Amino acid sequence: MRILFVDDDPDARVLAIRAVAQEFPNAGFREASDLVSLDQTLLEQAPDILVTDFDLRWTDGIAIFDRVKATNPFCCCVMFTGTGNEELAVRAIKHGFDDYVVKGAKQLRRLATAVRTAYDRGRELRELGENRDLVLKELYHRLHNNLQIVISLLRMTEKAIATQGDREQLADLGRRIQALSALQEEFYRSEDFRKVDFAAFLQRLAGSLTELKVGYVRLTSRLEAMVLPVDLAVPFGLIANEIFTNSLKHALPEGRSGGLSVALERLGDRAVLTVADDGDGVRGVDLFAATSGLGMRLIGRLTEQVGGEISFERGDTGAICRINVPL
Amino acid sequence: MPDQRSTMMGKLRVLVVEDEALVADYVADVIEEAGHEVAGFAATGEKALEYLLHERVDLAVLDIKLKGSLSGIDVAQAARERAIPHVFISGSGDPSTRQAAEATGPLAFLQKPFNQAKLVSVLETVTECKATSEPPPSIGGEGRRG
Repeated sequence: MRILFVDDDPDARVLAIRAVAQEFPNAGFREASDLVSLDQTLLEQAPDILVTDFDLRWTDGIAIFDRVKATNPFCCCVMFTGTGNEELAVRAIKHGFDDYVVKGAKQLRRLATAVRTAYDRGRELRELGENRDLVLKELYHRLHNNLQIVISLLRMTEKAIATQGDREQLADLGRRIQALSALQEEFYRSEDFRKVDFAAFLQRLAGSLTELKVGYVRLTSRLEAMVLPVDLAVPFGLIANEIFTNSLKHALPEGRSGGLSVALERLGDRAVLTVADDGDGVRGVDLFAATSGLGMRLIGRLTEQVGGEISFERGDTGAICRINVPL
Repeated sequence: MPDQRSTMMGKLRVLVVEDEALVADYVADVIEEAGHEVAGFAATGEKALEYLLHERVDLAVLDIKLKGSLSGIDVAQAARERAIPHVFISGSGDPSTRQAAEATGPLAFLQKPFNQAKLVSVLETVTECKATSEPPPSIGGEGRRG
């Protein structure tokens, strides 16, 4: 562990080091009295604890804080000053100092205690952070393993079922679970579990669904970068999954090759997803317009949930489905 | 020479290393449906190493977290020493684990729940490479793109 003392007065540094050393006898102590010695010691190794005066000839304690925190954001910082007043104490704490001690012979013991308390509290926070990361990793792993078991169970059930129609329903269910899982992965990647890179998700989803298909599908995508909150990304992602699946299944039936184009763009305060196929346009539109079918029902309910609008039209070469949702 | 004949027919013998029985069965299903055969199942790294040493294995499908003291990455290293291609199927999203896995030169790293078309695509690559006696290309990152 390394403790850095910043003070213009060498005697004050010696006294402070002596006091803090009683709490941390094995620490490495460094001193800085000007910018050169400060930068040199920061370059060697970032400190774990900083004790700094406020009023320095060459800068002030707040600027020292910023410089040290840039090298180690977890560094515990205590201001030890003789020039202070209540206003400065408040300013220091608001800026992020862990504690503030007024200089004085009788205050040295207080300084040592303040540094110890701040350091222990910081360590608890660091450990909590590390534990949280471990728990998140384990949860992620468990979630994906369990989803894999669900998919395996579906596959077994699918094989035990005699009728083709029922098998297809189960295969669709499997694809829905895969889509949710792909979304989950994007949440994990974003490191902010409330937001997702939706363009990356769509690319991955369209790619994997296309790969599952027998027959060559030429996939073209034009996806504007878009980060969406979880409560929008999940329903919107499931809608996209249904639309892709529908196009691949009906407009480009098994064995038939063709193109699928996917576009995502922001228009004002709405996100617009356009999916076009070059299959049999008439047939595609009719299929989309059919109100029966679980896929269509899911699209309808989820679109309603996010306050979106959906339209189907006949393009020059096939069906075009457009959905826009408020951001 | 049964081994040679089955190679000529393009049929691979695949070792499935996975400690979740249901997932192992699913992987086996995908392998068999693609016209290949399962050389064996191993729920531990130790058991997997036995197969690699004593059986003919053309491809190893490896989970990373296994029962016992060895991981799928340990098995991958052993497979690599014996020039047996391998593919990971893992639930781990941890970048450092993934980096360590990719350092063993897998054909693909498939995230659970995996896309079965990607596994089939890996099987096809190994089959083609066996037919032409070329080493299969190891792929880092997202796995094979269709």
